Amino acid sequence: MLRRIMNQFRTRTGMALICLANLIFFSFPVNSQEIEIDYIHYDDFESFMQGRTQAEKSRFLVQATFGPSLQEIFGFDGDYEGWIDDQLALPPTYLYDDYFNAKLDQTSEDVILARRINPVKVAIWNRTVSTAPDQLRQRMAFALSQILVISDKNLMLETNADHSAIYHDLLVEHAFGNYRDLLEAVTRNPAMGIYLSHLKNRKKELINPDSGTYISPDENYAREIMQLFSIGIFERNDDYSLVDGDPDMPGLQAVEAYDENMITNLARVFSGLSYQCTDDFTFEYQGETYTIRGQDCRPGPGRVCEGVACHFSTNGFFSTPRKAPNRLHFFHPDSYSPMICYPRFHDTGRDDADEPLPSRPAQGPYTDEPYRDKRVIGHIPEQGQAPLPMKPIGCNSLNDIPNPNPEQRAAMQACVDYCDDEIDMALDGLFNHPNVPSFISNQLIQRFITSNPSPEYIYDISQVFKDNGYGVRGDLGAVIKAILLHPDARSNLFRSDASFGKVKEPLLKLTHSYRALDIQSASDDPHDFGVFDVSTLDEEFGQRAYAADSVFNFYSPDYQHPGEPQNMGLNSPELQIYTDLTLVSSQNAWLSFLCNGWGFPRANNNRSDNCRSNGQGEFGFTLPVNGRENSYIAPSWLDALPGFSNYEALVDQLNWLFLSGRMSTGLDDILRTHIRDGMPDSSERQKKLVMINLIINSPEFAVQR
Amino acid sequence: MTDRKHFDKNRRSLLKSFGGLMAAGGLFQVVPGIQVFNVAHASTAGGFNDYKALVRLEMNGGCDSFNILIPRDSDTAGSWYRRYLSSRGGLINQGGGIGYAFDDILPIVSEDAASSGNITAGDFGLNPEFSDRAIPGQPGVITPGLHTLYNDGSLAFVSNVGSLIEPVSKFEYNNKTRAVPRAVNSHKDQVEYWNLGSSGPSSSRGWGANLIGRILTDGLDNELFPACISLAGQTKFIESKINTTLNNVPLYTLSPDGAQTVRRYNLNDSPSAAFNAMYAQAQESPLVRSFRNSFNKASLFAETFNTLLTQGEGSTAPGDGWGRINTPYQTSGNLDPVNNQYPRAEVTVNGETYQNHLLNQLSTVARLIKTSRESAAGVNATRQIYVVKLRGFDTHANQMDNDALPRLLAMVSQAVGYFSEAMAEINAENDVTLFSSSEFGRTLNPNGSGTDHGWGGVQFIQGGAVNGGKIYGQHPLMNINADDDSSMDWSFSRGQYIPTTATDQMMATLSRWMGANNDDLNFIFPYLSNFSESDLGFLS
Repeated sequence: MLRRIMNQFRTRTGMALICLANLIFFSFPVNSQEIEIDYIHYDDFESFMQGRTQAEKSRFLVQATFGPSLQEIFGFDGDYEGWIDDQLALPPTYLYDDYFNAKLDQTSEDVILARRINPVKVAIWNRTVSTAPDQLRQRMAFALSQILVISDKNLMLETNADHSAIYHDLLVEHAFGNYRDLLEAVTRNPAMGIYLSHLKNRKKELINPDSGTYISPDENYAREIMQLFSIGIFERNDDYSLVDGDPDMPGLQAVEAYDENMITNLARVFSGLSYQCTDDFTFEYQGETYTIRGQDCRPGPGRVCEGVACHFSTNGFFSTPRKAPNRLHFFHPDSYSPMICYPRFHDTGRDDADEPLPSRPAQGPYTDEPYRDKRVIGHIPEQGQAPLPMKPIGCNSLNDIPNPNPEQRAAMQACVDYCDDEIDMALDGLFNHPNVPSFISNQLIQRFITSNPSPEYIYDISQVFKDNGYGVRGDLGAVIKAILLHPDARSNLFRSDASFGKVKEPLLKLTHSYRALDIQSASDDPHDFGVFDVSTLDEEFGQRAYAADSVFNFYSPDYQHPGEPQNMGLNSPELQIYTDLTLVSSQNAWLSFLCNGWGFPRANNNRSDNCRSNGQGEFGFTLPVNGRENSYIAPSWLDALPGFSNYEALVDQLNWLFLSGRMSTGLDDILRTHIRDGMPDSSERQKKLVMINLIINSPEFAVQR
Repeated sequence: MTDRKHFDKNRRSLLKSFGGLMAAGGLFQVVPGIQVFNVAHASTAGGFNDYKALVRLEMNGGCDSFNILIPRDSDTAGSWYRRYLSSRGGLINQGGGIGYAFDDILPIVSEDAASSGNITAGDFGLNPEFSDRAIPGQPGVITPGLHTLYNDGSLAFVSNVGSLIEPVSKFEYNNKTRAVPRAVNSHKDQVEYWNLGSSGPSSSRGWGANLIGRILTDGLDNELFPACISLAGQTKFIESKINTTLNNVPLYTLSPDGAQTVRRYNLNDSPSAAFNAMYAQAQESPLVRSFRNSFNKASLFAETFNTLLTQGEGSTAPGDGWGRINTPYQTSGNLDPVNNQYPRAEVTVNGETYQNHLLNQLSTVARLIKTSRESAAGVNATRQIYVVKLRGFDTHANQMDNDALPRLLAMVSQAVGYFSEAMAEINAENDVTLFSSSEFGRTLNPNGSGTDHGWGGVQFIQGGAVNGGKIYGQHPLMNINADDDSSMDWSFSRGQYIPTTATDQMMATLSRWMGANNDDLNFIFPYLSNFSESDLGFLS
C-alpha cells in the first residue's frame, strides 16, 4: 500500500510540474493591486513526505486535526505518513458514555422544558473533538457528518439527543472503515430513519378497499441516498467531470444517473424497517434502579418475542421505544439500535393480497406499475443487469403468531433473509456505481484541503477509493491518507495558487482556538463543561454539529459566493453560512470569548473583562462565576509565550499557531504599529490577548491554505 | 405599467442622515473591492418616481399545496372533492389518509378567472388553518387569515404552477420529445428554478437580481440601502455577479431581530484601528478577499440598518426608529432592552401554541418598507425585493400532525394576514405585493403518514394591486396516473402533476408589475416566449 502511494506520487510529482505551468499560464485574473503580497516567513522548500519547518508542520496539523497546539507543532517530527499511520491505529474515542453520564445529572424538566440537553450535547461534542487523541478519526467523522447528514433541527431528533450522540459514534467507528459498511450502518440507523423517514416505511398497500385508496413507500431516503450519499444526480468521471452523453452534440450533454422510476423502486427496497423489539433496559443512578420497559412484541402471553419471531410483530413495527418513567430523557436502547426488517411491511414482490406481482415485460416501455423485481441502480433490466432480487415471497400471513412452529419459523427466516439480502444487494449496487469514488472523494478533499481540487487530485483519490492497493474498494482510511499526502495538499507551490484552500468552517475556528490556546476545563466536576459550553453556535456562528438546516448540509459543495468566487467560478461552500449576520456576530463572539471567557452565559456583568482599560481588568482568573473561572485563557499560558522584549519570537509562535507560518507582512506591520507600539499603557498579557484576538478575527485566519 | 422616468433625486436628506453616522462610527474607510459607499457614484439612480416592492415567501421543502386549495364542489359520488379524497388516501389519520373532511374546508366564493380548465364558482375551498386567528396573549386582536384576504379580494391563487421550459404533456414527457427541467423532484434543483427562472441551474444570477439590475438604471437605488434584502440567509434569487455587463445589485442578509454591528474594544483606540487596517489590507487569495469584502459589506450595512431602525423623529422608545408599525403584534410587546429584540410572535393551532418566526420576519420587512418610504429617513427607495422563508414543508412523515403541515400553514396565514394589515396601516398596500413559492407540489398519493416529492403545485399572491378572489391557471382534476390530453390533466403514478402553468409566467407577471418591459422579460426569462401568455393577469 505504502509503496503504491509512493510510486503514484513520484509520477504525480512530474505531473504536478506540468500542471503548475498550466496554472501559471491560465492563472485566474486577480486584482492587480492585490497580487503583490509578501509573507514574513516564506519557505518554498518542497517536500511532500516530510515537514521540515514549523510552518509546514503546522499546516499539516491544521489540515488533519481540529487545530494544533504549540507543543504538537514543536513535538512533531514532520513524518506525515508516520503520523497518519499512528492516527489510523489509535482506538476510537466515543462520546456516548460521557453523554449518558452527563445526562444522569439532569432532570427531565431541564431537558424537556428548557431543552437543556442540547447545550450538554454541544459541549460534549466540542470537548470530545477538541481533546480526543484520535484527531484524524474525529475530523473524518465530522467530514462524514456533512455528507451523510442528520440534523436535530428535526423536532424528533431534537427531543431525543441520544440520536446525534449515537450517530457521531457510528461515524467515528466507521471513519477509517469501508464506505459500503458505513452506508449500511447509516441506512439501518434509526436517527437516519427518522430524519429521512424510512423508519416504519411500508410497502404499497390498499388502506380502503371500498374506495380503492392506497399508500405507497416513502421515497425520501431512496432519493437522498442516491443524490447525496453515493452517486449524485449526473453521471461523472473519476475526476468528477460530467460524462458527456452525446459527444457529437455541441456542448456537454449531462446524463442523469437515475430516473424517478428508480427512486420509486428503491423506496420499495427500503420498506419494512423499524425499531428492534428487545427486553427491558435497566440502569442505576445514585443507588436507585431505573427500568425502561421494552415494547410489547408478542401477541400471546409473555411480552417479549423470541428470535426470528421478533420480525413478525405488528406492534413491534408500529410502536416507538419507551422512555424511563420520571426520567423522560432516558430512552430504551431500541430507540437507537440498528433497525430491523419486518417482512410483513416489506415489498417482497407481492401485492397486498400476497399474490405475486406481474413480471416485467421483456420488451417495450415499462409502465409505472410495480413489478415483482425492482429496477434500481445495479439492477437495470434494459441495461442487461440482473434483476433485484429473486422470486416473490409471501410473508403477510406470518405476523403475530403466538407460538410459531418450526415450519413457520423457517418461513419467517426466509422472509427476513429476502428483505436483508435485498437491502444488501441494493446497497452493493449503489456502492459499485462508477460515480461513487469521485463523488465522495471530491467532498472529502473539500472538507480537509481545498474547495477547488484539481481534476488530477480528485482522479488520484478516486483511484485509491476504487482500490486501496489490495483490491479493496471504499477503504476510507486509505482515502484520507492519500488525500493528506497528495502533492496538491502538501506542495507549497500549490499553496500559493490563487484558487487553493478553503474558508474555515466556523466550528473549526472554534476548536482551533481551544487547542491552540490550550484552554481546558480544569474543574474536577465532570459535568462542568466550562469553555465547551457554547450554546449560541447556531445564532452566532451559523454552524453546530448535527444541526444543518437540511439534508443538503450547512452548505453545498458547489456554492459560489457572490463577488469574486462567482465571477471566477470558484467554489466557496463555507461562505454560504457566513451571512451578513454571522460574519459580524461570530467576530463579536471572539471578542467576547477572549475578553470575557468562553462558556455560558457570557454577557454576565459579574464576569471580568480582560480587555478593559489597563488596571481595571485584573484578568479575572480568580473570580469564580458559577464555577467557570476556567473559561478564560490561562495567564500562565500567555506568560509562557515569548515576551515583548523578544517580539519577533512572539510573532513567530502566534504565526505558527494560527496562520501556519503565513502571516502577511501587512498584518505583521499592523500588529507592530498598533499593538506593540500603540498600547504603551497596557500589560503584556493584555497586548498578547489583543494580538490573538486580532489574528483570529483576521481575513487571513478565515481561510486555510 | 409604470413609466420609467428619470428624475433627479434629492439626495441631501439621505446624506444628512448618514453624516452623523460616518462621524460617529468611523467605519467608512476606503476598502478595496467594495464600492457601496462611493459618493462620487451617486447619480440619478432608480428611474421611478413611485415605490414598489416584491416580498417572496418561500415555503421551503415542497409544500403539499394541493391541500391548500381544495375542490369543494359536493360530497357525493363522482364529485371533484371525492376524487381528491380518494387520491389523498381518504380522511386524515384514517389509515394514513391525508384528505380534509368536506365540512372542514373553508368555502370560498370563486370567480372564474381561468383561461382554460374547469374552475367555476363555488367549486373550491381553502385549508382550515387559513381562518382568522387570535394572537396569543393579545385578547381581542384578530389577524385576518388567507381565507378572509381571498374573499376581500386581495389574494389570488395560481394553480398547478411549476418549473417548465416549454409546455409538455405526459406522452411528450415519457418519450422525451420536449425539453424539461432537470431533476423535477429534487429539492436543490427545483429551488434553483424558482430562484433563477427557467434557465435554471445553468444560470448563476437570480431573477430577482436580474429584475432589479434591469429596471434600476445602475442596479442601485442608492449606495446605502441595498435593493434586495433577505431575511432567509443566502439565496440565489437575489444574488448577482459583480463586474458583469449587468449592474451590481447589492444584497443583504438580515436577521429578523435586526442587524448586529461590530463590537469594539473597551481598551483604547489602537486595537480598533488595527482591526480596521486588517480589513483594508490587500490580499492575494480570492477566498480571503471574498471573506474580507463580505465582512466589510456586512458591517457597513449593519451600521445603516441599526441607525435607521433605532433612530427616527418622534420615536418614543429605543428600537422604534423610522419603522414603527402600530399594527399588533408589535405594539403590546415592547422592545426587550436586555436582548434588544421584540417578543417572539406565537400562533395557536388546535389549542397548541407555537412560535411564529415567519411573523417576526415579515414584521421586520414591514418596518424596513416603512423606513424606505419615510422621506425624513432619506432612503428614498423606488424598487425593492425582500425574501422571507419558512422551513419544514418536506412532510414525508406525520404530515397532518398538529406540529407539521397544520402548524406551518397557520404560521403562513397569520403572518401574511398581519403583513397585509401592516401595509394598510402605512398606506403601502397597493405598492407591495407578496407572493409564495415552494420548490414543488407533493404526491397526491400518501406514503403512510406523509407525502413525497411532486412537481406542479399551488401558489398565492397577496396585495392591494392583486386582482384577487380568483384562481389563475388550471386546477388539476386530482387523478393519480392521469393521462388526459383533452383536459390537459397529466400526472404520474403517485399523483405528481405535470405543471400547466410555468413558474416563468408567474414570475414574469410579477416582474412586469415591478416595471419590467418586454425586452426585460425576455432577457430575464429566455424561455418565456415558449408560452402563450406572458402575463397571467393577477396584477394590475
